[in-house]
Amino acid sequence: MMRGSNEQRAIRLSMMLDGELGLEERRELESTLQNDLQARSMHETLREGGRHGREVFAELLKEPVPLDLVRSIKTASSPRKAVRLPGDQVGLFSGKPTVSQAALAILLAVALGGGIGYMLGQQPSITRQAVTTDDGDWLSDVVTHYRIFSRQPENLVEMPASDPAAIVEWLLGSTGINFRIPDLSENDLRFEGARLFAAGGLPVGELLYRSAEGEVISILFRKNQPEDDGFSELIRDNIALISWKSPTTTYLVVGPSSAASLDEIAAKAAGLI
Amino acid sequence: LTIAASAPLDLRREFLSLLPRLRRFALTLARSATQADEVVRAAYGCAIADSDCLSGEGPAAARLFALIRRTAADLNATSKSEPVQADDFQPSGERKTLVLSMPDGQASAFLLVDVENFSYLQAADILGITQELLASHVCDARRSFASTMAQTVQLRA
Repeated sequence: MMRGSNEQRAIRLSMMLDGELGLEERRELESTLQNDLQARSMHETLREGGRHGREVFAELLKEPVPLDLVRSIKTASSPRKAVRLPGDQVGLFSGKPTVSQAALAILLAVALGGGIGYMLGQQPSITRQAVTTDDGDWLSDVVTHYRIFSRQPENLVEMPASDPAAIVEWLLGSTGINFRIPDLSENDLRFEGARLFAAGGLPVGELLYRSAEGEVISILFRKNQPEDDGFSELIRDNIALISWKSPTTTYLVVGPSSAASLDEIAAKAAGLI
Repeated sequence: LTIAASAPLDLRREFLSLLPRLRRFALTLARSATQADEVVRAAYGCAIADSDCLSGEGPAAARLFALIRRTAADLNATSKSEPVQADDFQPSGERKTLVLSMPDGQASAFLLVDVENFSYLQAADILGITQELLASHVCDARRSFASTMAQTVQLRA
């Protein structure tokens, strides 16, 4: 399609914003911008349009990925080791399901579809509700906290792993939750230490682990709240969260969504914490 | 980023890592938010079932974006008459509608170049179009966003 000279100039101005012009052509256009009001106006329009477009797409990226989409991808590949998170009573975790149980779960997932997936098939006793998406909820605080500290490898923890007894005493006193520090070395995770922070107005204890690849995996816990929305697994941006509950405590495992074994880590931690 | 087509776990890792961005890209190609998720789901199904789906050279991210584009083209071929719709009432619904309602090619070209920072060469390859057409789409998208922004400012004034 032939375009007029104004159109061609607009396209070249747009290309200049993307650094896609050669040196000579860029200098020529910069010279035009100094002397041509119309060109300057177009340049400003394109620049502002680009800024607005980036904002629009940045906001779209903040939307949680639907749980059923994540699960359909996680379960669509070749058969994986099944994991089982505890129900209302921690300690009921009893290892791998049988082949027939796994097959039954797959059939259930196919038959019921949508939001009822693989994990539910493995643990029918867990009550699930809609995934919480409000930006103001405590999970947003958790995600923000994880995003900030997982990118500070030199300042990852408040209290290092060298004194585990002190960590337990500290977090028990602050959160009111008794716990053990899970040994996840079989999952190639090294315990780095702990943090305490506030999410949704309540203290949250955090145990931090690091993989050989440098991925940071956190186990978090706080007292149950009556208004808590139940969820088992969700992804926000590139961060995945998996939860389970005891009668008094909500636990989370948080890590990069690319950590394919996060559900296995959650199952292991649930049996050890 | 690298992908070993013979290693499903690596593919899954890469796909999950890029999932929010792939889903956003699918939204620029689909007729609805629901269809965008169908595109992503179908693209992954293709990738794990047939290594040819991820054929081509270049970084894994570029190949996965190209897979999303090809899958969207297949799905759109039978549903072009469907109206554009955001499907939901989430806070981002208005932005989804804006992206979904942009003329064909503009939002996807802009996203790849200005947001995902692909070069014109890479973006044109992902979209299967010439660099000249890509440059035109990116320019039109910038003007479209500027126009929308101006209308919003006017409405709020």
